[in-house]
Amino acid sequence: MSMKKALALMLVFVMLLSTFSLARATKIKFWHMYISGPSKDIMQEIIADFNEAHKGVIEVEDLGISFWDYWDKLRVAMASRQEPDVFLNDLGNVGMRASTGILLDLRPYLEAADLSPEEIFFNGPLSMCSYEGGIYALPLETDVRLLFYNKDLFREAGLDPEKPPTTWEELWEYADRITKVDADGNYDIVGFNPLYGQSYFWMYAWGNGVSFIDENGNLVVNSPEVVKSLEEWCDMINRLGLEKLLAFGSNFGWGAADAFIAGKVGMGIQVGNMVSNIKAYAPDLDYGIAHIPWPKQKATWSNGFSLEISSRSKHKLAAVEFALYLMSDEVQLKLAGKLSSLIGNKRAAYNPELMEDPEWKMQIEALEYTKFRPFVLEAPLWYMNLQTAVEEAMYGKKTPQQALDDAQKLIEADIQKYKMTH
Amino acid sequence: MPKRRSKYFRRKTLIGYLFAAPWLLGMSLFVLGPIIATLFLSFTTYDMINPPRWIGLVNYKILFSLDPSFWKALGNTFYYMFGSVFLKVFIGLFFAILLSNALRGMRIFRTIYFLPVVLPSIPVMFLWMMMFNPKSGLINQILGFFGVEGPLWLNSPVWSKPAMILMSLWGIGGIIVIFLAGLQDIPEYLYEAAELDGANRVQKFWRITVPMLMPVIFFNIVTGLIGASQVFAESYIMTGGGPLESTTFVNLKIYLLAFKDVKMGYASAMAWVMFMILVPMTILLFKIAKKWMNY
Repeated sequence: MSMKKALALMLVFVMLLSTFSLARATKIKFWHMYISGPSKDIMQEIIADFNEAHKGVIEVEDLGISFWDYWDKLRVAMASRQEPDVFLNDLGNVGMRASTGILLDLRPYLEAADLSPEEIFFNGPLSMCSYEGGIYALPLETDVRLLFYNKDLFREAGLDPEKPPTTWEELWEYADRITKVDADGNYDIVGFNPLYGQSYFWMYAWGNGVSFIDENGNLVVNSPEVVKSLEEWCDMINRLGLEKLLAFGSNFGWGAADAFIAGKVGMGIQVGNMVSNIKAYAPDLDYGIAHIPWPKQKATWSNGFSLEISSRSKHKLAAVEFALYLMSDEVQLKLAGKLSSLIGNKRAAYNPELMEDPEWKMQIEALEYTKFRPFVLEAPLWYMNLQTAVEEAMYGKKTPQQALDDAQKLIEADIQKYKMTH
Repeated sequence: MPKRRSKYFRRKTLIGYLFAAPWLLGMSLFVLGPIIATLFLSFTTYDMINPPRWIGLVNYKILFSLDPSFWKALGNTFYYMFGSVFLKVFIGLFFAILLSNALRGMRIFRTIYFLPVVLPSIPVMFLWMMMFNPKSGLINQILGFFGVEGPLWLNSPVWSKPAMILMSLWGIGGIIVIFLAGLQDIPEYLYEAAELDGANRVQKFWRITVPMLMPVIFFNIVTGLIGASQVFAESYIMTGGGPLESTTFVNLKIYLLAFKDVKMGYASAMAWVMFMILVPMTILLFKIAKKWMNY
């Protein structure tokens, strides 16, 4: 009997057990971050439903931990072999954990259950879950970044609020008409603030058609194309003045104090779940969402939370059953409305009712072309070096070329360090 | 007779150790144990999942040859250590002398100055973040009152460390209280004798107060430097180490390496290098101090 068949039989067996409960329930632990608001309520409901349906067979014990404490707690739990069976983690670096052997390869289980991951999940998130041919995580939640624009400020500037910019030239043309300066020369309203929200250089570079991985599969952050993109990026900031922008930005914070929510930013790049913040803090704000203007190709950046199962779990089948339940169309649909981010199940995401909401539709469209920061096992945090280079160039400490050359050296040193220690 | 006495003392000693046992146990289990463990880990590569693997001195080799960011973090830490200690000791002494001269109300002021020391640090940091706000913050508003355009403080790679040093003055109460105790220990007759010889205030300060206070100043410098070398929460909470890594102190670096990068072995090596820098530095300070204090 093949592995696949054996697993299929076992899965069926577990499901059967749930109807004729005999033995004591298998307890599995699930750690997550849904500790407040509507996401907490829906997750509690989903877990309760699962426990009810598997009464006497599987019982899920969940633990919600705040985002800020979650990562340290999970890592310490892993170090002391006390990790939960099923847990949320960072979708951006699944490979880091897969390489250590802590994660269970879910591909055989998916095959046994006759689930085709390529059919169910979006490409981008799925590629982040894959490592050396296996699937080590499931994309529970994901997100995209889009251009948010204030329709009232568009009207005031005599612009058509139904026509957001599609090119950077257009964007700057609009931005200049929206920007307002007070008597002291400080910004009162910024038409487009490149430092606001979730505006990252790598998205701009991708829009320029640039890749950070060369044809040999190596990380290259100082190719002429990247340098040119960074020069353009710095020009965008310099035309507004870094100091003035920083001073402007420091007036605002998070939530109700957000610059866009306060109506002080005409256009800004934000993650899709900004929608729920606007609903909560400024329900009357008249705004629109558009794809981020693209020089060459549409581009945006995604990250999110993955669902992972410990390879050391004593109840792998029960854990897989619960994880697949969380990824099922039905549960993902339930989550869709209540989570502030996007779901990883493509079939659920394309639900006709959901697609009637233009904001949802826009985000799902973006999910089709979005990218993740490429994962490199030897230097998983390479993008922090890139980010530092961007800042150095922005602050005028180094030329874009110099900053990116230095970042490249640091990344190569990281790769060398990895090779020396592994 | 002596035998019984020694038995009595032995019992007393035993009871003494019993009372100290919780501390001894805690110290060895939760402080000494981890210290020794990090020494071992610093020679390994350890991802917190698989058992540590011995790699000898490779971590140290990397640290000294391939990691410029460590030296930057070290520079930041020393900048902060010396900046904050210098200001704290200088201003602390100034306030202590003011307080000890104004005998009336001294107790109240002593309490007032000491109060911030006992406040929880996270809310205080948020308060300071608001004060450092370049536009709406109190500090720049006051500067603006005098026609000075204040810097971007925490948003500026140049001003972020001075901002944190300025903030560290908030906890100056401890130093003031120690200085006050030291000042009260200086015998009054020294000043009286100096007055008879026609010494003025400045002379009295430099010839009597400062030399007599030297052990206290030294104590404050050493404890201050060691305390400041542990700076972590300020940058973790307020700046995340930025802008441009200007507030990435060694401890933040170690934390990020250990828990974000999951390079426990390398982070341990970094902690030990820091330790190896601080120990000789403290010994050197003691040597210098011996030269200063000739009594």
